[in-house]
Amino acid sequence: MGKPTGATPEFVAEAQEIVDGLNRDLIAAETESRAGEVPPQRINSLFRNAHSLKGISGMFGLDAVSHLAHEMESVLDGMRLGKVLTDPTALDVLFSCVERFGVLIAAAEAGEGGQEADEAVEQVVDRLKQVAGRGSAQRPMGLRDMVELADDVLSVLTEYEEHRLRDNLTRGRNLYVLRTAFELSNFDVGLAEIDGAIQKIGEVITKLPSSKPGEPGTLAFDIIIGTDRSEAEVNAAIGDERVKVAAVARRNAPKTAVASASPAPATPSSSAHEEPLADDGVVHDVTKDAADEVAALKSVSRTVRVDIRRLDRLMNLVGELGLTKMAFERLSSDIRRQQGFTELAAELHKENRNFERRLAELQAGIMEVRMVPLTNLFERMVRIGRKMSRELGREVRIETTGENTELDKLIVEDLADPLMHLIRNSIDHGIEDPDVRSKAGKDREGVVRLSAAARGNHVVVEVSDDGRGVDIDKTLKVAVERGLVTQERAQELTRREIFNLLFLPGFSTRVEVSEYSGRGVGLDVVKTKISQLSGAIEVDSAEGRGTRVGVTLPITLAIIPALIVMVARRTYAIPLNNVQETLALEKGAVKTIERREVISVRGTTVPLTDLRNVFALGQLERPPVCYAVIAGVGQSRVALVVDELVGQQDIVIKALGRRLRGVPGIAGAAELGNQQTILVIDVVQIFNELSQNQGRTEEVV
Amino acid sequence: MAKLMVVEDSAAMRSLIASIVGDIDGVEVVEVGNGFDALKRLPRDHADVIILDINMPGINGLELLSFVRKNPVFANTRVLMVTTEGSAEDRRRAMALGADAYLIKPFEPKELLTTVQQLLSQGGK
Repeated sequence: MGKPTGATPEFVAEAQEIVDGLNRDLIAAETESRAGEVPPQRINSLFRNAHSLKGISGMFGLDAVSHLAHEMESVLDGMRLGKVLTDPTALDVLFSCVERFGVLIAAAEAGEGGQEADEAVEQVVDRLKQVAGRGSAQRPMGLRDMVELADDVLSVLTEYEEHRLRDNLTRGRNLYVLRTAFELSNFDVGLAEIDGAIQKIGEVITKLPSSKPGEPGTLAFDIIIGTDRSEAEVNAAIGDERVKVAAVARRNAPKTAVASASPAPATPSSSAHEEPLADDGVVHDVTKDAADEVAALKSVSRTVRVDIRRLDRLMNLVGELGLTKMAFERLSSDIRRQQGFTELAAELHKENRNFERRLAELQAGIMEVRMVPLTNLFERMVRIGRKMSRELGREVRIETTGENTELDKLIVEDLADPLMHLIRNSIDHGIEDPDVRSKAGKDREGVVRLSAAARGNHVVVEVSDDGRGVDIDKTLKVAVERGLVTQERAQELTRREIFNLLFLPGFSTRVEVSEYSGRGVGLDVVKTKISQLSGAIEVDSAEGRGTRVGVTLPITLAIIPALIVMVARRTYAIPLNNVQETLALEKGAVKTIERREVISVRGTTVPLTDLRNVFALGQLERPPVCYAVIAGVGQSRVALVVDELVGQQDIVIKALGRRLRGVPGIAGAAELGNQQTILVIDVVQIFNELSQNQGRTEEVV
Repeated sequence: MAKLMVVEDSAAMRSLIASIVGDIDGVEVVEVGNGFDALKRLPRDHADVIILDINMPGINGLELLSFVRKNPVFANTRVLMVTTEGSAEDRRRAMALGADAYLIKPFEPKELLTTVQQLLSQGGK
């Protein structure tokens, strides 16, 4: 791909975000400056934003923005390093920059140039240069002479961090090194906590990930802080005895040598007053062109970026409103039962229906915001697929259909890795060499097809190829060799069960490992990933004609309709997207085939699984009348035995606490009305347990 | 298959870099938005080349670089620093800490491509 030029929507959104950030910080800085001093974090934040804007505008060919951002950045860099004064005059010039950015970005988005720097930009640049020229350029004293810190610590500090260290020393603050270790999985949370505690008493100067490997899976940090508190006070502020606090000793150094390097000194250096800045005509230049100003103030982008967690919160609220709705419904039917069809009862019923409809719309609306089309993901996959086939010397055409299908953004993000793996598999294992193909009477060029289609509350994503297909005999042989299934059992497996063997951990039909497919992960990893997304995966293949892998995913994980059931006097929820039908289970209907209980559902045999066994609720007998919930994941089905069907309800699945997280067969918890918390059954996991036990039980018995 | 990790906090810049280097044959690109995530992913996704922005909130590029350089596990990992014209001092420090190359923003896609290809051919595999 070449260098993109001009304002892509992505660029405009990010640039606008940065300019908004600059504006916010400048307004805050103005207040802070009036009250005394602009804190270093504020200036650094301004610097970072100018820096980012310069970076992206340069890459996207918006030279005027990049030029202005560059000058703004160097002024801010001087400020954060204490070389340039932070005073009202300087802030005023920075405000003019932000205004100009707004105009330039708006022009670029509208496709009206904005690439070349014009006179208005140059005027602001000149003023920036004047501000930059007012600094005090005193050579700072070497830190090594000021403080007892190891060289390998000092060498990693950026120029800015070094300056903060020096500034803290000059102001007579104490320096401490906090040493602590976190688990790799959540160290950012731990660091943020320490950050928060330190902000109240001083300043975090730098956080260094330690190179000394501690316990495996953990990461140690050295955090250098500056504060006027004592060591005991620092310890108290952190309140965690695992964090070791050590004071950093100073070396004797003449303070006066560095005093002038501190930022925003109380008495500005004389040069600031002697050199008046640009004449007023320039300062008020913007008023000349009122339209310009309006354009600058208006947010350019018509899109809003929202943290997905905010949407989750809204979704939770909708879930809770759903509970309220259920309560109203109950009341309404109670009234009807007690008083008959009075006018009031009818009115209440009608309003409740109204409420229900609006609530459904609200829910759909929030859901829609989370949905993104698969277009980007598919484009990426095509690119990767082309590259892979080139490298493997295959001739492969990659076709896509249904890329406009939409899915929850979080699911789409997690889909990239498994999809890439499946495409890799198709190209590497599926498609034959061109010569082999033409001998078999196929086109020399193989086809890998990537497709997506919506099916109600699900989306089916398929990767199919017209390659050699799965060799059933070889698959069985390998599975037996690896002990994944017994020889006897292998004879009885259906085609689908045989294909399912491919997803077992430790299965890989290729003896020699190729560069692509042999990189550590097997199809079992793909399956695990898909299961985590509450999806199902299955393979179908015809030898010599190709393979099709279908991935069925729920369109969202945020809120789901569920069937509420009772087992041994406990209440559970079964996600409705896994439920195909329910039926009353009469005693005589259950048969035993090969020590397994099964029932016949319209001619097909479905294995029976009693939830009281799955969750070890065996102390209560199965009641004479109970129900079977026929659950399906992909093409496989199972009948879950429950005592009672309570009803259908939308639930918001919440994660379980650490203690319960590992329990197999449980996806999470949900709240019913009347503040009852129930467990949500993970049907996919129950299926997995079942299919893994199939081979093993044979051996045990 | 070689692995590239792009560590850059600007999303637009990150996806631009990723799409440029993603065209190199035989590479897989991992995109990471900040130093924390890079630290989390490095032990799992052993990158052959890391393309690293210096100026990031949280853990900056120099800190990440020093972590990589001091860890023998990453002896074969090449690090390409991405900096801006103004930060000459930080660039000097990066090279002193053992960065393999640097690029100054804005750069031409071709510059990035050639540099990464060079680093890939120098790598330990």
